[in-house]
Amino acid sequence: VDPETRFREVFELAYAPLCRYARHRGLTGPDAEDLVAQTMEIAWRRIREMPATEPLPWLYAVARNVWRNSARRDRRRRELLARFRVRPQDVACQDPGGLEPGALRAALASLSGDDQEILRLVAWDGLAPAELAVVLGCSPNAARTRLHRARSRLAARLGIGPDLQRGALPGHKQGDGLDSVEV
Amino acid sequence: MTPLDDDLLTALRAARPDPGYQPSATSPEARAMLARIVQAPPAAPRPARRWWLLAAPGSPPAGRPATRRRTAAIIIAAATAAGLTAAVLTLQPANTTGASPAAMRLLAEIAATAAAQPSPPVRDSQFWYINSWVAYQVCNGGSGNNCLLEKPHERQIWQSVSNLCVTGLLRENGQDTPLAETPNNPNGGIGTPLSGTSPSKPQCVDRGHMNDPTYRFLQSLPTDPHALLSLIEQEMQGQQPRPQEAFTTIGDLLREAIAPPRVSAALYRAAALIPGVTVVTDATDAIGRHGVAVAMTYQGVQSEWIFSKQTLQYLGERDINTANGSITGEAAVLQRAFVDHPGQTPG
Repeated sequence: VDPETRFREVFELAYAPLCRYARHRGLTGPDAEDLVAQTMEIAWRRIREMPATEPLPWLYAVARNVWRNSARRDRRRRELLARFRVRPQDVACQDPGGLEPGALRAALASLSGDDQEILRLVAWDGLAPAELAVVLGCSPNAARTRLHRARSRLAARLGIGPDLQRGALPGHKQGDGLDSVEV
Repeated sequence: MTPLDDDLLTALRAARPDPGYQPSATSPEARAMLARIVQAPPAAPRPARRWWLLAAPGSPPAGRPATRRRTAAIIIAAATAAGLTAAVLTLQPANTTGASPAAMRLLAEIAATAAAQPSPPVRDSQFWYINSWVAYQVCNGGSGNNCLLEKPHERQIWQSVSNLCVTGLLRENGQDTPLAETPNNPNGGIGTPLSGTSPSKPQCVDRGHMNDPTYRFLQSLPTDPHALLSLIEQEMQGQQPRPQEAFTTIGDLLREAIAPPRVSAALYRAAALIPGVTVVTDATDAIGRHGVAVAMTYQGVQSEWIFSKQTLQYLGERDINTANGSITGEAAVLQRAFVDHPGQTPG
């Protein structure tokens, strides 16, 4: 397959997920388009280095770096402050039973940047732990552990214990990959 | 098994912004993007910019340890930056039109004032201290309609003058946050645990770069305004068109950093070369001080750097939504100094 045909396939596959990735990180309009375009440009230039199968996690890793680099430029003015605008003690006072979207987003925003990104990649972008491992550049086991820890910290910010949700709803499978991780 | 068997993560998924968003790879925007990208050959040499170096993950992905790979990236980036500093001296600036005549005159005066400031000796072990009052727009919910300007609050930052891997400190909102960059986390150690990093034994060396400088990095910048602007444009190619990119970058360097007088002056003279830069005769910073401003408008936001009319010293900045005149962010810098330890205030 020649590079251009391959890139067109990858573009077809990855365009919508990358647009959503940008949207999930608060980017809209030209900012979102720039993130997608820059990620795709890198993919095109480095098409020969892209994994032959399942290029999507690799592309998420590119997008993540592009986003972090652009976010970093004005992190002093916006990103950093955004992270501090919800203080943990404020969040802990909220109703823990609700898990309503505003409270969840606020609790997420109060976590460290890495925790936020891990939880967004899994819950918002829909990555499986093995794909998360590719994006983070670590082993699948390490990715599971990091996800588990980030999830625990999110639960703590919401003022709920780590066990509260386990098996709380019908249909929950015992012993899934998340719960089996020892921390 | 998927992570979303987990109830908390399922609830979090439901809280994602804009769940009904359905982008399409066959939309006209997507087609135009694709056509634009494939115009360039895939094997084109990568521009020597830091963000390119850090933007692509290791390949194959499960290959070398992340630490080594990223440490290497930092070293390459540092070498590249040094190379660029030498190389850009021969380049022409991208634009020759420059700021408005009034802005050029004002920036020339500001630059002359900046160049005349004293320049105390600085030791590698020291930290810069910047005390400012800031207020930013906080939006609740994903809709973007529900935005308020915070009350201005104090923000204090301490960062090593020579190495971003040395732990600094941010004090804001009653919270102390260590600032550290580790080899594992070259892109943003803020808010992350400081495993193994201590002021006495940093795990890496990073003199910083355009969007996260140290004093030593700023000292290394060219003092010729054309060379400096070319360097900024090359290093900072990113989200915005070039003039806005350069204006934003210089603005970030002016607010929460300390540059040597010659470099400060060069930054102002470089700003005078940016097309679209204008003068606002009266502007107010975050603590109500009036001044004259240098401004640029982009995507409905007018960004102003505010200076004292009497002394031409930098006071602060302000962002204004041009559609309704509302302020979307403001800052006032009260003190800049070099100190020996994070948490130490001068005098």
